[in-house]
Amino acid sequence: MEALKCRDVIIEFLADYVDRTLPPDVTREVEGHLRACAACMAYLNTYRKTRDLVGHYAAQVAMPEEMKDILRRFMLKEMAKKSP
Amino acid sequence: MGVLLADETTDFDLVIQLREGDTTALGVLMERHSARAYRVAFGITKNRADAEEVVQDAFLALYQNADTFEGRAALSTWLYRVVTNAALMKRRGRRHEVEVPLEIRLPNFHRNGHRSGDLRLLMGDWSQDPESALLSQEIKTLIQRAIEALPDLYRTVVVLRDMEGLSNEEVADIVGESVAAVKSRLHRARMALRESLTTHLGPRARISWARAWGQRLGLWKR
Repeated sequence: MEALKCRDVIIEFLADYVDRTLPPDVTREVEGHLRACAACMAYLNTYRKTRDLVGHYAAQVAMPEEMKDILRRFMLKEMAKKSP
Repeated sequence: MGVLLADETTDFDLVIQLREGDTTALGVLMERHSARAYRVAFGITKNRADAEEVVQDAFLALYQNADTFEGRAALSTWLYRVVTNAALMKRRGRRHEVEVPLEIRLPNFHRNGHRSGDLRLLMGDWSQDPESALLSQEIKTLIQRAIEALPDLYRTVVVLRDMEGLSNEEVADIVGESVAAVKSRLHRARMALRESLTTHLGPRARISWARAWGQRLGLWKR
């Protein structure tokens, strides 16, 4: 395999590398490039961290407390329509 | 419509109970799934009022279709699909918003395949910044804005995959695209989000280290 360029690593392989779904030989090639390329290593680290921070942000998105009551009232009204 | 302590009862059992007229089962299903449904709806619509409507309509659909729900797919997957479709429909009515093209937030490369751009951003590794800084309100707001700025279908994939933790296969099933298309969208969206964070955090991260590197490459005068 021809030596990987930054474009190959970031565009082609990074997502699968992070998911550990690359074949072993490609993983070795990617890791060889990462060891030699500080910019791609920084990219990998910040790409992973971005994914983690998005997950962390998600945990902060909470359904407003009053929404539970709104939903409950809405469904009671809808079920009453169906009742004989 | 009370709330049962029914942790051990499966969703499908609850749907069968609902089908038989036991409306308390719907209460349990809402208790289990409404927060997640709201998070997805809000993530896609970016709007609380729209998200509330989407969630209401999803549980109404569940109630009305309980008779025909066959349980082939998990109820949560079915709900994700209903919520995602309804949320995207809401977005169709918001087409007047100008979407920023994703391309301007993707990495650039030289013809030879190496990275190009501002060295401070290329070398800025902010991933080791203190958690207290990365989890600050300022960064949360930045992430929220960056997610909101993604085109609808890209944002949808990020919401389902990175916010909800679903697999590529589950997301593909929900949005009706191939797994390859989902992976491609997700990767581009993550790159755009990373770029937004790096633009903000990169220049102040590891500047001294980047400077040393620049000096080694002759890009920075000593």
